[in-house]
Amino acid sequence: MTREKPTPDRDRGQTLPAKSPPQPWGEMSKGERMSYSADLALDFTRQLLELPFDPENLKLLGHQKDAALTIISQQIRIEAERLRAPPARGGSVKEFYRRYDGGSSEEGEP
Amino acid sequence: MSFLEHRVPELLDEVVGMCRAAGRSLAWLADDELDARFVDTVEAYIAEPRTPARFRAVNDVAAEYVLRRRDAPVEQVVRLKEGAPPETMPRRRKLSVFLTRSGYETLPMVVLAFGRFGTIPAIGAIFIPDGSDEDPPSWDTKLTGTELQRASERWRKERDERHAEFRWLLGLSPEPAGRIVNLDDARARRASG
Repeated sequence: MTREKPTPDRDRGQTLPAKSPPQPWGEMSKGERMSYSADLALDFTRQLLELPFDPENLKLLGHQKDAALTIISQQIRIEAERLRAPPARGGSVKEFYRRYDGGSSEEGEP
Repeated sequence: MSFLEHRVPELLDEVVGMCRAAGRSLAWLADDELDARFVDTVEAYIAEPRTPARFRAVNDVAAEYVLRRRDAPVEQVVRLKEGAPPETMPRRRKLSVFLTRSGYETLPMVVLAFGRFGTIPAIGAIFIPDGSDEDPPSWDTKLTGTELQRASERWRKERDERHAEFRWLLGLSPEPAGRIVNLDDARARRASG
C-alpha cells in the first residue's frame, strides 16, 4: 500500500485567498501597515516554498532557493541572539507583589 | 553591569506591561498633574515602604512616565548629598541613594520601588527610603529575658527580609524565600476578623 504524498494547495488548483486589509491603507498607522505587510510577505513566502520542486524551472528554483536561504539565515541569527542573551535570573515583579500578600495599588491611594 | 543592563530593563518591561494590561489608569493626567502625583506617591511610599499598595503605585507612575517618554522630577524626592545647601522646607524623608553605577543614561528617569529597596535607572542608583534601615520600633535596649529574645528574633527576621529584598532587586534570588507578611497588616486583619 503506497502512501499519497501531501500536496500543497496549488497542486489541487487552489491558491490561498487574497487578504484584504482590516481598514483602509490611508487610515493605518506605520505599525499596522508594517504588520499587515509582514502577514502578506509570510503568506507569499509560504506559497512560494510550497510550490512543487521542479529542477528544470531554474528561474523558479532560484527564487525558492533565495527565499529558503534567507529564512534559514534569519532563523540562525534569531537563535544565536537568543543563546547570547543571559537567562533571566531574578524573580518577576508579579512574584514580588504576591509575596507581599497580593497588595493592589487601587487600595490606599496617596 | 548586569543589573542595569539586564535586570532593570526586565523590571521595567514587566512594570510597563502590567500598567498597559491594567488600562493605564494614569493616562488621563496632564504632565504637570503626573509630576505632582509622582511626588505624592513617592512620599507616601517613603512613609510606608513595605505597604504593597504604596510601592505598586510608585511603579504604576513609573510606567506612565516610560510610556510618555518623559522624565520624572526625581530630584524632588532624592536626598541631597552631604554638604549641599540646607533645604528651606522642613526636613522631609526622601529616597537615600547608597549605590550608583554610571553609563546607562538611556534608561528612563523614573523611580521603581520594591519594598525597602528601589532603583532610579537613568542614574544607575539603588536607594532605600529614609528611615527604612532603622531598628524596628519595638527594639529597646532595656529589654531583658523573653522580651529581649523576642525582640532579637523580630530584628533578625527583619534583617533577613531586608537582605532577601535587596537580593531580589539585584536579581540574585529567583525563588522568594517565603511570603513576607507585614506584621502590622496581619494584626489589623486579625483584629477585623
